[in-house]
This record gives sequence, structure tokens and C-alpha cells, in this order.
Amino acid sequence: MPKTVLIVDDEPNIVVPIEFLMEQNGYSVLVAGSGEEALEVIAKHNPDLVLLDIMLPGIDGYEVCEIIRLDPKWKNIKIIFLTAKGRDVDVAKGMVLGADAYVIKPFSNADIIENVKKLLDDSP
Amino acid sequence: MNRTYKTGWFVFISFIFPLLFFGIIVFIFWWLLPPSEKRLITGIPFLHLKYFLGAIGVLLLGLGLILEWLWYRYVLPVSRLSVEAALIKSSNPAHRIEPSGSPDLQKLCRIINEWASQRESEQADIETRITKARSESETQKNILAAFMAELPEGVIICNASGKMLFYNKQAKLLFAARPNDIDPKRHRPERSYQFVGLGRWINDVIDPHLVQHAVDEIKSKLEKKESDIAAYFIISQSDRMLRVEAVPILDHLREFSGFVLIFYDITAALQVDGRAQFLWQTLTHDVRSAVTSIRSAIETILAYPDMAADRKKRLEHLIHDETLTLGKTLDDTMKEYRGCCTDSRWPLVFIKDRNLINLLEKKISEKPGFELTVAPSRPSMGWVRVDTYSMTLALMFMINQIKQATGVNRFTLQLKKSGQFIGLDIIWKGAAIKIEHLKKWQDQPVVVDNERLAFSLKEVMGYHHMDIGSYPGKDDATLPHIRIFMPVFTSPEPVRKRSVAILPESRPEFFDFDLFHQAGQDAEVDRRRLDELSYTVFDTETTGLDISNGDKIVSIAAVRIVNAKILMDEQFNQLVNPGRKIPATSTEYHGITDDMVIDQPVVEDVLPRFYRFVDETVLVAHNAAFDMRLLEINEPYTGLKFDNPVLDTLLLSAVAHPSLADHDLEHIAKRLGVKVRDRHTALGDAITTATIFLKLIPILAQMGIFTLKDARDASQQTYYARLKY
Repeated sequence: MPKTVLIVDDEPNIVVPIEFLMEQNGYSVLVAGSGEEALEVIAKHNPDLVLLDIMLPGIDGYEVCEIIRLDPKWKNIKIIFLTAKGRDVDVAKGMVLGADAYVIKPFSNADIIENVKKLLDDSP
Repeated sequence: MNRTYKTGWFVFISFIFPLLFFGIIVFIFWWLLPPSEKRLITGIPFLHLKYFLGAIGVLLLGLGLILEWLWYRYVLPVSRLSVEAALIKSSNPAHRIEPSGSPDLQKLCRIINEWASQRESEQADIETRITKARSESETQKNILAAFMAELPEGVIICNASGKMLFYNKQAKLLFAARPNDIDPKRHRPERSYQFVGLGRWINDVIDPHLVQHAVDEIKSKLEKKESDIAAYFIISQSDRMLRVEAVPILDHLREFSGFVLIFYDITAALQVDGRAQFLWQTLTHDVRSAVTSIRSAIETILAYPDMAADRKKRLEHLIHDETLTLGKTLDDTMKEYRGCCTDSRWPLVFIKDRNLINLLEKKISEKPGFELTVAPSRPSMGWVRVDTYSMTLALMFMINQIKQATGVNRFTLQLKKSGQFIGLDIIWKGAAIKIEHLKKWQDQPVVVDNERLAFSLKEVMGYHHMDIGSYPGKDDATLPHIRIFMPVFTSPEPVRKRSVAILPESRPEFFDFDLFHQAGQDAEVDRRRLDELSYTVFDTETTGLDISNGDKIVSIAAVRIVNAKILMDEQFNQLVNPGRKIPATSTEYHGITDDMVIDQPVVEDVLPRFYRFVDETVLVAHNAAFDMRLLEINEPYTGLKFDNPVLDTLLLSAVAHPSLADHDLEHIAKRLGVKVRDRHTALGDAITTATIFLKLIPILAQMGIFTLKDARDASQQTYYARLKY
């Protein structure tokens, strides 16, 4: 059974190529356009990994991360932050919240794939 | 009239006059007598010679006793009374008259004494009040002066005609000639040789048109009664850009009586603005060109699906390259921008992380309501920049919010490395704070009890370039906490030093508002009093004494005297490269070696600056003829004619003490009680000369020498004036 990756970003043009890339690498892909939607999808599908944008309308990436990490049944979900601002403090804040990795926009496909593979292939 | 003279007069009148009167009566009586009676009478003394002489003796003795009694009781006491009363009135109000003489006179003495006592106590009272008022006004002046001196802005105050009455340290620094201003190719006095100084013209340092424009603007604004009566303009001074604010000073009749110029150094701000502008332009240009090529490439691919594979590949690579370029442009711009333009205008100070946490703990512990401890921290991780006041309030604000939300009232502060940041954690045992809550707090204004910041928590963090996050506890080792992410600075940037303003005992030299009542310097200088003229007292050191045959200046120094005060802060002190070797004998004399002058400017560059320095002052030197001749000898090279009036302390000393022969600096100094400092350095000698000159002025005044012309005429008449160099 293929591992599931949830892409959370409110920018469809970023989602489209990543979605394609993940599918090409053999993952099954879910997409959410907001924090609220992401939580719904997680509750329903329990993905293996979340590519999580920080700047989201409503509930932001930090809060989504906080909620995931507070719930023990989701403790195996890997989280990669996508941060657009390149602000170092966002990375620091995210890592303290329990994210597993981060990728700074603009990123290359190789950056994403490498991080996703490392997290999913190492885990059972 | 002296006392013996007075006594003689008294005795003369007392004896001679009655005797004369008595003699005349006897003579008339004698003349009327018949001869028989004359004989009878002349017979009596011979008949009773003993009795007759005895009677005359008793008469004279009685008369003498009466005279003495009168003398000591009435005459002498009255004369003493008048002298002593005059003494009380004119020089010693504490003197009292010893009552003597007749009872009436003694009573008079006592009345005068009482009167004197009364007057003395009144006088003392008035004096106390005057002293107090004077010291108060002096203190105020000193506070103002000290305050002005420490202002970060330059301040120059001018009277209505543009003469400087006051300046502060910063103004002097802003207009100080920098070494690169001295252009060896320029031998004429230019605007860069400018001096800020009391009694100097503002037009010397700022373009006269600008000053005139500002004054006109101020006056017209005053006439129109506008609310903003200042005039603004920008000047460039060496490599600095200065924004100038001109504010008028009005007298009690609201007449324009002068203006204040405030100089703000806006160089750095302009550089930041300019840099940001440049970054913005570069960014838009780079993004535009990248987007253009990407769009053109992809549109070509879309429009020609059948294009050859290798050509298509080239276009695809081009697109990829352009996106890489775009990413790099973005990164570079951000980095540059942060490097130059995000330095906040907030009063952030550098502080070691551990000092900060201790400071915060100390400040917060003063407030009741909760317990706060500082967790032992490891060695310092570096410096942070904070405004401690708003930081303290922000922290307390958060603690209060946590307390309200969780009911906890024991907190720990801890420092923790967090990525590239220093984390300042507020830790507690209890329920965690949801990010959602923290977000709400961030938008609230920071209020603690009755202290309130005008900013929200988010804004306070923003101007500190900090951020906060809330984290739940995992176990006993990781309790719930809120972390403040503080950027680390490895070493503090050199901060501008602000020294403590110390009130000087006397007012600083450059501070004298009395100059408001100064007459214009352009008035007939010759007729002006010596104690109200402005002077430049100067001295030179040379390679030798034979200046007509090639000995040159190696050092020139001067101080200014304005309002009969030496302005130690307005010095000119410059070593000069003589362009030849300094003989050992001369070095022995003044201590200046070849090495010391090798990198110094040559006389052609120094004299133009000196020329500006002495502008509109009377030159004073000891043995001025020598120094003046030195200046004159350089005239062909500099084109500068020093035509200021000149006074010579050597000559003036000879005028003041014509009977004495020693008029060298040391002897005069000793005679006048002046301390000789740094003898045989140009500056030391100039200061000694200036001090001597100030002491000579009152001595000359006693001799009736008041004006510049008086002094020059008297100098000319002395023997020394005939010496020629």
C-alpha cells in the first residue's frame, strides 16, 4: 500500500506540480487549501506525511502542527513545513513545534523529494 | 587737612584773637586816659609786680585748660566723627564709632552706629538675595549649556545680523575641517577653511544665500503669523548631509533678534533611503527581465508544439535557468535589505542574554501577584538588542495572560538555544496555551496594571525583530512554555558614546548670551575698548631665528579671546612641514623633530586656514614683529595679506611697567602672577601670552589707555618699538 502525502497550501499553482511529482514517486496524494480543510482530511485519512504551508488563511500552519502533535493518535504523522518567507524565525518556531523538516520557497523539486523520501522510507 | 595743622589753627584762633581784641580795647582805654591816671596805672604793675604776673599766669592757665577741655570734648570728637562716618559709608560698613566727647556728641555717635547697623543688615539681606538670584540664573545657564552640549544635534545661535552667539560641541564637530578638505592645490581661503566660534559669522560656514533665504522665510512667516515659523534647508558639509532647521528668536517686543540653527546629520538616513531605492529598482528590473524571458520561452513552446526537440530543450533549460536567477535575486535582495534597511529606529540597546534575563527578573519581581524564578543558565549565548522597558512590560503582560488563562502563579524564566535564535522561555506547570490564544494576545495592546504601551504585543516583538511561539509540555522535562525568539548578535556594534553631562562650575567658554548686546564688529575698531574686542593670540615655532634667510615655520598655534575671556575650546594648533631639516639646536628649544612634521601639511596649506581663523580679530603675539614678519614672508606663496590690527604683549608690558627692563614672557608672567604652561610650544606660549594680555588690559586702563588706538600709540612710543627684524 502506497504511503499518503497531504499537501496543504492555499496557492493552487504550487500544489499542481508537487501533486504530480509525488504521484510520480509512487505516493498517494491528498490536497487541502486551508488549515481547517487540512484537519478534516487528516481526521478522515490519517496521512503519513503533511507538506504544510505556514501562511494559511484562518488556522495557520503552526496551529495545524500544534493540533497534530497534541493528538497521540497522530504521533506518527511526519510534518514538513513549507515556508515562503525565508524568515529564519519561522523555521525555528516550526521546529520547536515538532515539525520533522522544512523547505524554504522557492524550492526545487529535488529539495522536496529528498526530504519526503528520507522521512517516509526510514519509517516503517 | 591734617591733625597738627588743625590743632595749631585752633590754638591760634583761641589765643590770638581774644588777645588781639583785648589789646585793642586796652589801647583805646589807654588813649582816653589823662596822663596822671596813665602814670598811676603804669605804676601799679611795678608796685605789685608779683600779683600782676601771678594774675596773668592764672589767666593764661585757665584759658589753656578751657581750650583743652573744649578741644577734647567738642573739636576732636567732631572731626573724628566725620572721618569715621565717612569710612562707614564708603568702605567698611562694619565699622562702629567709639562714643566720645560731650554727652550730646556721644548720643550722636550711638545714633550713627545704630543707623549703620541697620543699613548693614539691610545691605546684607539684599546681597544674599542678589547672590541667590545670580547663582540661580547661573545654574540655569549651566544646565542649559550642559544640555546643549550633549544634544545629538548641532546647535548654533546667531544674532539678527548672523554673528554666532553660541554653539555646541556637535556643531563644532560637524563643521570641523577634515584632513581631506585641505586641498594642496588650493591656496586661496575657501569655504572649507571655516570655523565655528563665538563672534564669527554664520556666513563663513554656510552659504550666505541659504542663510539669507532662511531668514527671509522666517521673517515672512512671522509677519503672516504662521504656526510653523521655522525654515528648513539642506547643506552638504564635507561628506555629510545636514538638514538644517532655522528657528527665530524674538525679543520681548516680539521683534526678530536672532535665530537658532539646528543641524541634523541625515547622511545615514539618506544612505538607507538611497540603498532601499536602489534595491527596489534592481529587484523590479531583474524580476521583469526574468519573467519576460520565461513568458516568451513558454509561449513559444506552446505555440510551436512541433518544434525540433533540441530547440525545445534549449528553451526549457532557459526557463529553468531564469527561475534559478529569480530565486537568487530574491534571496540577495532580502539579505541586502535586511543588512541595510531594517535597523529599527527604536531605542534598542545591546545587552548580554544573561544580563537581560536577570534584569527582567529583577524588574518583574518588584510587582506582586506571582512568583518568578530564573532557571540557572549555561554560559552566555550572545548579545541581544532590546528596549528593556517595553520588553519588561511585554513579558509581564504575557505572564498575566497566562496566569488568567491557567490560574498558575509560579513561573520560571529560562534561556535556551533555538535554531539561530536565543529562546527566552516563560515556563510554568499547568495547562498549555493554545497558539490560537497567543495569536489573540498578540493583537492586544500591552497593558500591565496602570502601565500601558501604545503598541500591541505583536508590534513590540516586531520592532525587536523577535517572534513568539507557544508550546505544550511533553513531560516533566518539557513543561508548557512560551518562547520569545531573539536574534543573536555576536558582538555589539560600536554604539555612539553619550557622555554624562556634568555641570561645569563656571559656564563653558563658548556659552555667553551676553553677546546679544555686542556691537557689530565692523564698527570703527580703533575706537573700541580693549576689553570688548575679539583677539587671536598666536605664537609660532620656527627652524631658526633667521627668517629673512630661509628659516621656516614648524608650528603655529592660537587661542581666541572674546569678551575678555580666553576660549580654550577654540584653538588653532598645527604642526607645519617646513620642507627642510630642523636644526638640532632648534629641536632642543621647541621639541619638534623632523619625524613629527614629515606628514604634516606645508605652510601654503596651513596659512589659508589660519587666515580664516584670525578673520575679523585683532592679532596679539609676544614680540609680534617676529611672527608678523613670518606671515609676511609667506605672502608671495599664499597670496594672503594678514592686515588685521596687531598688538604686542612685549610692547604693552613695556608701556605698563616702563621702569622695568625684563619684558620676556617668563618675567612678565612672574610679575603678573601668570602660570607659564608648556613653554616653547606654540600653543603653550599662545595661552600664556593671552593670559598676560588679559592681565595687562586693566593696568593699561589705569594709565588712561582704553582703546585699541591708545594701545597702539603707546606701544609705538616705547623704546622697543624701534627694534627691527
